[in-house]
Amino acid sequence: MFKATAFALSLLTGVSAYGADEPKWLTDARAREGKILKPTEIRSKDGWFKARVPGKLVGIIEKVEGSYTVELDIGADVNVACEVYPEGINLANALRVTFGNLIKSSEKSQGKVDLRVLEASDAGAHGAVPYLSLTWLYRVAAADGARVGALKQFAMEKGPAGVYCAHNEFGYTKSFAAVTRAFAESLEAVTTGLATYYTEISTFSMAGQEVGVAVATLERDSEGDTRARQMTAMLIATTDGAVQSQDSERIDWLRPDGSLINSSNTDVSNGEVENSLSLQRDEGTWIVDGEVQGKAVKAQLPKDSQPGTWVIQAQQLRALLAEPDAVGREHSIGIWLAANPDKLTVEKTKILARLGDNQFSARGEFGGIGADLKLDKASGTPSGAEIKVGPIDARLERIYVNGSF
Amino acid sequence: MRRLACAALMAFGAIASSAAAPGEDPVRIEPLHFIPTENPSARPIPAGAPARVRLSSPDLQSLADALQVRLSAGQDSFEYVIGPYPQLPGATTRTWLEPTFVIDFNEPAFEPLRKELGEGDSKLTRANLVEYVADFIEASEDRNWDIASVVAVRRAGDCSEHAVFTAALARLQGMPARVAIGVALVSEDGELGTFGHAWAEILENGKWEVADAALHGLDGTVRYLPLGLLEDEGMGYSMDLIRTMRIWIDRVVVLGAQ
Repeated sequence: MFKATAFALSLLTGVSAYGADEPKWLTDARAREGKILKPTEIRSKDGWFKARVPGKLVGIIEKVEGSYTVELDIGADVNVACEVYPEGINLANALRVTFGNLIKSSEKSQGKVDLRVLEASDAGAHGAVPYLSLTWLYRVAAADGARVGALKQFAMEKGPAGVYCAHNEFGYTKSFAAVTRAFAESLEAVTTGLATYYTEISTFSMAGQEVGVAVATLERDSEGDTRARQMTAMLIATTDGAVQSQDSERIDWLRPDGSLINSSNTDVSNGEVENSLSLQRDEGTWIVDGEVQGKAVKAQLPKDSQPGTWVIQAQQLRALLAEPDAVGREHSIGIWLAANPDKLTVEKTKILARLGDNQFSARGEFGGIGADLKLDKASGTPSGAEIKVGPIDARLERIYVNGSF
Repeated sequence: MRRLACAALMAFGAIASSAAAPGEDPVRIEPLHFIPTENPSARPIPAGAPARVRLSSPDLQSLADALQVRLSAGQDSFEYVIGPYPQLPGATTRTWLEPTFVIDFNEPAFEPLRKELGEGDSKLTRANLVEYVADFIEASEDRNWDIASVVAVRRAGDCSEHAVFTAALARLQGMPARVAIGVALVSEDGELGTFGHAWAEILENGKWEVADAALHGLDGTVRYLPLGLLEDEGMGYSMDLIRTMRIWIDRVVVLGAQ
C-alpha cells in the first residue's frame, strides 16, 4: 500500500515535504482507534441481504432508490456509512464520485475545500471479493478558520452486488478495515446468478502503488455454455488532487469447447460510458455494433476471422507448457479487443524459460505492447506480468485463484 | 515552471507515484509525462536558438531510429540538436484532409463551427486557428483522448483534445493536418522542463508546421520534438497511440544553445 503521509502533510501545512513534522494534534487524531466490536448480524428489512459486521446498526436497512443504506456505529464520533447496490457498481467510479460529492457538500455547508490530498490507495481481495480503497485528507477554508478532514473509502464487488463504505473522520483505520473486511467475508444476498466454477483476481500497480484490480470469472448456465466475465477497475491520481476512474466489463459467452458465441464490452471513464460494443456472428460474419465515445459504430470483422478467447488461449498454452520442449515455442491467437474493434488483435506468447515446476517465463506481445509474463502451468494464465510502454511501468499480480477450467 | 495540463502520452491515464517506506523521505509525485530535465549550466537558451541536449531512453535504439541518429555500440544516451521543426514521414497515400473516426469534422457537432469559421477564401490562418482553439477549449485533465466531435461539444481537455480539434478545424477549412506525439522542451521563467505532449501539424508550403493550441499564450519558448504521428485515426486509434508511446525519452540533459 502506498503511503505518502509526510508529503500529504507538507501540502496541508505548506512546508517542504522533506523532513516535515506532523502537528501533534494530527498525529493523535490519526492514531485514534476504538475497540473493535464483536460482529453482529445485520439484515435488510426485505431480507435481500445479511452480513455480520463489527458495528452497531443505526436505524433500519431499507431499499431506497435502488440501494440499501447501512449506518454503523463503530465507537467513533462519526458513523460508518455503507451502501449496498444489488445491481452492482463500478468500483473505481464509486470512489471518485463519492469523494467529489463530499467535497461539494463540504463546500456548500462549510467553505471552499482549498486542498485535497490522496494519502493512500489500495487494491486487493478479501478471499474472492475484489476491492479498491482510498484515504484522503482535505482542508476546508471555513469562515471560522481552516478545518482538516479525512475520508476513508472502500468499494467491493461480491457476486452481482456492489458495496461502498466510507468513514469521514480521522483515525479508526483498524475499525473501518474490520467492518469492510467483515462485509466482504459475510455478505449473503438473494441472487439468481449462475454457478461460478473459476475465479481469478489480480491487482495492477504502477511505480509500486496499487492502482487497480482485475477479476476473471467463469460461470456455467443450464445448457452448458459459459459466461466468461472480465472486470477491471482502476483509479489514477491527477495533479490537481483528484482521481480519474476507469471501469471496464467484458462478457464473452462461450460454448463448452471454449469457442466464442458472442461478446460485449463496456468501458466507463470517469463515470461516462466511453464505449459499449458487442460482437455477434450473423450469417457467417462477425458484426461489431455499438458506440464509441457516443458515436454509433457498426463494422464487420475481416472475412474468415475467427475470434479466439482467453479460455482457448489458456487451454492451448496449458497444453504447450505440458510439452517437454515448451521452452522456445510460440503461441499465437487472434482476439477481439474493444480498443481495436474492427479487426482481431494478435496476441503472441513466446515461452522463454522454466521457473521451477509450475511456472514459466514468457514474452507476450499484442498490438505493439510487450509484456514479461510469468505463466502458470496449471491454468495457462499469467500469474504475473510486467508491462513497459514508454513511461509506463505497470505490473499485474494474481492474488487469488479458485477453481479450474 | 508552469505545469502543463497534458496527458497525451498517458494511454492508460497513468500518474507515476513513488512509494516511500515509513521513515523515508517521501518521493514527490510527478505525472508520467514530466520528463526529468537537467540544465547543469543553469543558463537559459535564447529564444529561437536551437537547443543541444543529451537524451536517454529505455529503448535508445528506437529513439535513435525515430530521430535518425546513428548509435555507436555501448551508448546509453546521445546528443541531439532540437532545431528546425523535424518533418516526420507520414503515410504517403493520405491527403490528411479527409474526415476520419477521430478527426470527424463531418459530424453534426461541427456544423455551427463550419458556419462560424467560414470556408474557402475566408478561412483562418494557422495562427488564428490556434488562437481560436485555445479560446474554445477549457483546460482539463479529466479527458482521456476524445475524438474531435466530442471536443466540439464538451469544449474541454488537455493537449490531446487541443491537437485533435485543431486538426479537425484545419481539415474542415481545407488545410492538411495531422496529430503529432512527442515531447516539448519548454523554457519559462528561466527554467527548462520537458514534457510528453501532443499537438497538431498543418501543412503549409510543403512543410509541416506546429499548430499547438494547448500551449498558446505560454510566456516562454517551446521546442518541439515529434516522435510519432497518429496514423490510424480509425476505431482502433488507441492501439496506434500505444505504438507511438513505445518511443520515449526518460531523461534530458540540456547542454546549451547550438
